[in-house]
Amino acid sequence: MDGVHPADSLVRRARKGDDEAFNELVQAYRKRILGTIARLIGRPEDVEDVAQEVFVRLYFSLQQLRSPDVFEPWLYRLTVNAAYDYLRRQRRRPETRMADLSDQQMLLADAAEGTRICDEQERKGRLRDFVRSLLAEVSEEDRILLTLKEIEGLSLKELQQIYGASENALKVRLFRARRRVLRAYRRSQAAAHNQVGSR
Amino acid sequence: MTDEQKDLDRLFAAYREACPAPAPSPEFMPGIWRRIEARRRLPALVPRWAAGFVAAAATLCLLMGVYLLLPRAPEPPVDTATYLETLEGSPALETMAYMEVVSFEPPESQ
Repeated sequence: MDGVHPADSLVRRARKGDDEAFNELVQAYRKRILGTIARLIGRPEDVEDVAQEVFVRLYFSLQQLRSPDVFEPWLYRLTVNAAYDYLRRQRRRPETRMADLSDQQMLLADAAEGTRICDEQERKGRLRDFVRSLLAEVSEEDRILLTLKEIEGLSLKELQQIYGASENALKVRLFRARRRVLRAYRRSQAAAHNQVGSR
Repeated sequence: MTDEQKDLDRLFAAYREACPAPAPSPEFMPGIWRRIEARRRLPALVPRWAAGFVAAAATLCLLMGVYLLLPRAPEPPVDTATYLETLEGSPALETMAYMEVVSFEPPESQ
């Protein structure tokens, strides 16, 4: 995100109302934004919907952008806000997830879909569920922050631009969130050891 | 950094691998433009609704004005007499009753 970005001219054109430039901007960033949202919300079926919302908000807020240099942090801020809004809505609307279904129901669901989960996909699915269970130990705000830092690989400087917070404040929040996740990880490891020992 | 922290970092990296960016559907861009158009239309509708509301309110005011200006049958004159004047004007029933007793009693034969 440092230095002059090739998207700068697109941003300038899109701000002047050039719809073609906006289309190019979306195409340039959609993959990255879809990936970030997928990791933030953890629901593949809703990723595209949230990503569309991000780009719609971008379209209507381009005029408020001070300079094209801060376009990427701006876009990430919109992404974080849209993901957070989505997670808040989901909190109010509990629904059955695959993880809540019994094994028999899972088998029936798989049979109905006519799919056969291969080992690799199953391993990835378990990994996703495990990491999400660890991240569930922290608040939604901290989970998003931790995901951006640890999983998306954003730097503290980038996070500062996105959140508009001081580096120290971010470090403290990240440290506390990571410590809680680490504790949950230790607990899960201890539980796994106990299970193996009891067999 | 402890082993557990390294494990956690590895886990996060593996999670990133396990959650690849989904490919956008062909409806991705048209969907964005549909939403943009829908939101553009909303502010355009607000002045139209406001204009309709103003027209309805003006018509209502006009109708009420016409109703108030229509000639109506004269109202009965308002009684401007004070409470005491009204009392004086009305027959004093209790006095009459008293008088009645006094006046109609046949006098004792002397």
